[in-house]
Amino acid sequence: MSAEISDKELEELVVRAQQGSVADFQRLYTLYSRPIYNFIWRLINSPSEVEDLTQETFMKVYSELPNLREPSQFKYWLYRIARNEVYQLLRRTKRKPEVSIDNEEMPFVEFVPDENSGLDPEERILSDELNQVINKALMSLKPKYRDVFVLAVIEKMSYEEITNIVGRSLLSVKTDIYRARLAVKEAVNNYMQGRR
Amino acid sequence: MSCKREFDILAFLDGSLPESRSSGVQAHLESCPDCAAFHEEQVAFNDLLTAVEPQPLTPPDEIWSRIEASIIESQSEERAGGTFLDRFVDFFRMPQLGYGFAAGLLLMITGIVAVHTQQSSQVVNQTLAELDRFSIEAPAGENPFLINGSDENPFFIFEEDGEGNPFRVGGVKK
Repeated sequence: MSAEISDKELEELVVRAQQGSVADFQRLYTLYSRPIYNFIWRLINSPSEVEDLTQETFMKVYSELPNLREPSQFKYWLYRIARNEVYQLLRRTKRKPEVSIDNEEMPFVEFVPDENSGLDPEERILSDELNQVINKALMSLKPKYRDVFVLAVIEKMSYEEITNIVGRSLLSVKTDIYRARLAVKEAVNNYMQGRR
Repeated sequence: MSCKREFDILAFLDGSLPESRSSGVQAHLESCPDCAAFHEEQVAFNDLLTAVEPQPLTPPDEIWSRIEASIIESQSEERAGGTFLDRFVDFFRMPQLGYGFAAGLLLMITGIVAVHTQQSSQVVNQTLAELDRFSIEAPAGENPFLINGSDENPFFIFEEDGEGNPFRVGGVKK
């Protein structure tokens, strides 16, 4: 998921984009639009809004880029902006009911199937169902648990990187990942037991 | 689990534990069945997540097209001097306007002070005119403030000889 570019190259790219090079900004977009799109999708799970939020995120990045003091921090800054866009939408619409992580009731979420998995039909059904269970479990979490879980477990970021993005202490991040992981795992266990 | 090492085990599993502590956790997992079981569960959970995780989605090309169009629009607005609102805001940012505003403010303050001073002087004059109504004409040598013919002058307290008593000599003082 990480961009295929060295830290130094990335820094130079960011500096040139800060100076107004649209071509370099487009290169940044090419490098990061996919991870950001997937990150937002994991947090919000609504295809139409994912597109809008991705666009809003990069528009904000373009307009605020000259104010970024440390180009080396671009990646974390970008994720922070994406995360803020998601949080703002959640606050504006108040659409997503925040439930406790031990609440078994989960809201319906749209499932996006994986067309390229290469699994046989039965495995595919199980995989799809499991993915749906995981998505539902994720959507039932408070955003602060959901984003650290997505960053740590799905995006495979280090806890140090996550603290840079979410702006919380390492201990708080560790605790939230632990709670989120337990909640999602419990949902998966319940599903598996129900199948037996 | 009695060890309370879940956080460390998860950080170890997620590759976020410093090298110096990883070996300690590794050694602990070999000696503690509870923690080893917890670790095994979490490894299995991670494997499951990896197995069912869909391929990352690719954002549609239209997103960049819209962003690019917006950038081009904002650049042409900049070249044209901005939108009407920008120009309206910029008008109020002109330094000449600031100087003019400061001069106007100074003039206004000066005017207020002048009017206020004139009014104060009128009030003083009116008060003095009012006081004139209480002036008393008395024969020379007589103090109009002596009470009932008494020798004791109520206003003549500090000076025995009456020098400097404004009410004593030559009749009246205002």
